[in-house]
Amino acid sequence: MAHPGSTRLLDDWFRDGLRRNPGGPALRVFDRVLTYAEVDRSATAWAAAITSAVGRPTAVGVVASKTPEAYIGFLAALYAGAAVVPLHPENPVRRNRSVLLAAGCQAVIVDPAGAARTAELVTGTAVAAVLAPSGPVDVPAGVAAPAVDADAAFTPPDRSADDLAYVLFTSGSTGRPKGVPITHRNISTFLEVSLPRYDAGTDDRFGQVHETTFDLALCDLFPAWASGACVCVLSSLQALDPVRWVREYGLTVWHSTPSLVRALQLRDALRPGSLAGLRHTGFSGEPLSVDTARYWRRAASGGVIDNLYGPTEASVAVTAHRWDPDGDEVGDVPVGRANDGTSLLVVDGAGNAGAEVGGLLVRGPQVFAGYLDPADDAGRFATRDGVRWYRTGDRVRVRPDGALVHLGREDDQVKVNGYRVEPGEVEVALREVAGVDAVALAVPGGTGHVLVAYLLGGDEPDHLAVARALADRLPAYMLPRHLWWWPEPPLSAHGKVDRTGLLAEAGRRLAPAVHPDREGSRS
Amino acid sequence: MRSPTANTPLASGVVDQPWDETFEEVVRAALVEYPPDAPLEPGTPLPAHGVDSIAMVGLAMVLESSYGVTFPARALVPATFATAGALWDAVRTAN
Repeated sequence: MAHPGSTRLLDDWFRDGLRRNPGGPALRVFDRVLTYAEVDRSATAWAAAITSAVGRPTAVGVVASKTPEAYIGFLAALYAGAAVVPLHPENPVRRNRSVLLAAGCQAVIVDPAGAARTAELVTGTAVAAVLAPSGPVDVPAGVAAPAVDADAAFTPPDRSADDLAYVLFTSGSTGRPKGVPITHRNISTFLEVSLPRYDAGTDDRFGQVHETTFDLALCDLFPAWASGACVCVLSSLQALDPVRWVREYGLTVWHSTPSLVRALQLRDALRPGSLAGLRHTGFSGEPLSVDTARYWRRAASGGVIDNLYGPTEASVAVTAHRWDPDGDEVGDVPVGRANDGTSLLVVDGAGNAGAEVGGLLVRGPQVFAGYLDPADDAGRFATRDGVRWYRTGDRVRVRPDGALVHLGREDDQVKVNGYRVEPGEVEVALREVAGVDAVALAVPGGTGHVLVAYLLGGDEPDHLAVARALADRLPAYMLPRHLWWWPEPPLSAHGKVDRTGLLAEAGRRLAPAVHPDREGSRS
Repeated sequence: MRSPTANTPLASGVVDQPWDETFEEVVRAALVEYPPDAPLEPGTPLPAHGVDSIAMVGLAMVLESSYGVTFPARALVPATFATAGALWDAVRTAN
């Protein structure tokens, strides 16, 4: 029988912490510390304000980055009975607007950075109310800017575990982002199976590294809140100096991508024992090498390390592996076995299930029902013996003990600092803004992939203008680090652009010792 | 340790920068392929010249030890490193 999964709502997990530790710290942003009761009161008041303006919304955008609005707004949208749609305020306005439109958001909650371009953002969308808890905001005619009444009485509407909890957007190879809708059942099942790994309590402090536009953030937020612990938000710069902030904030739980550690390792920034306060570390988002795990463990000497794996489509992570620092593994740390309730299937190139090496399929209560736009479902699902599986696109090897090892992708998708990037999406955007043929490539490097792009043929383009126009369309993590013009690119035997040749040349250009001339690069 | 309020004219004769030589040297050292003869101005965007987040953290550490100050947590955000002028303001106001 299929596993039914959790029937809890995502905000129920916050209420667990509220019950256990009402006067204790729930959220720290720099020197501002908010208690569980304060966060709950604000989220309730914000939900009331939105509901009084637009009724019960189906989707609420939260345009905020690492501010109280990003976290309290997330809860407020849930309290209002809506699906949360997190948006990064530094993303291009036109991209955020297309996300608001696709998700059908009727309201947005903005932090000061998000408020800066609100009028432009909501024009032409279904957004009828903008809530700016930190101050005044300019809204177009016909759009409400409700005031927050701190004492408003409000009870969240009745919801079902099969209602949407959030919608995240990931890079799509067709040139536009793909919406991934996740239900309360999907994400609550993940939390139910994951919480025991943390064994956290009201004295724990979780470092919060990932942006809330990235579902790995939920791995900090809700396990912390379910335990009555404090979520300590780290700016992108604080996250790169864990020694200082683990000490100053007294962090006990850390969760980041391996590439962050790799960057520290290349500078040898972690002295042995310098992260001794950490008792639990989770890595996810990209492969974790044994070498990097060892380096981190030397600093976080008293703690355990879990390696997690999963696509956004299956609610954060579907496997986990507790790394044994005394083991004799080489290469990459395994990603482990399936979470309770989740089924995995490894299928080889001939379609045989149960292969040792092959593509990974997943099903179970953590797996979403399909993309926001059904057109994006094409080729992403497989039906075997009448059962529907999600194709992760990841290649894995099954160890004799049953643990999986991640081998890479079956397609072009890459991870840049943990973010999923489809070079095809970058390529489409580049062709549009440059008006010439373009190729975007991910070049493997010391801390992960580096995105580069070539503009092919034609006259020499205005590099700065192209870079600027591209930044107007794509989030920062999708922007190529280098943009090169190549008037007569090499062609393959079939007369097509020789991508392999372009990739090899990019590798040469990125290796400074081999190719000191970086003319034409924009950085 | 230098006083962050010093305003020493630079040897090149360019005097309109609000900062001192230490700051000029530290910031220039963090830029990638920035022409030595091009002036560093308050509006010079650091990320456009190779200062990524790792470099920002390194810059913060060097500036803290050069000036004997500690940046408050809320200064450790990319906006502080957006331009040379914004960074100098952060150095001046740190203690």
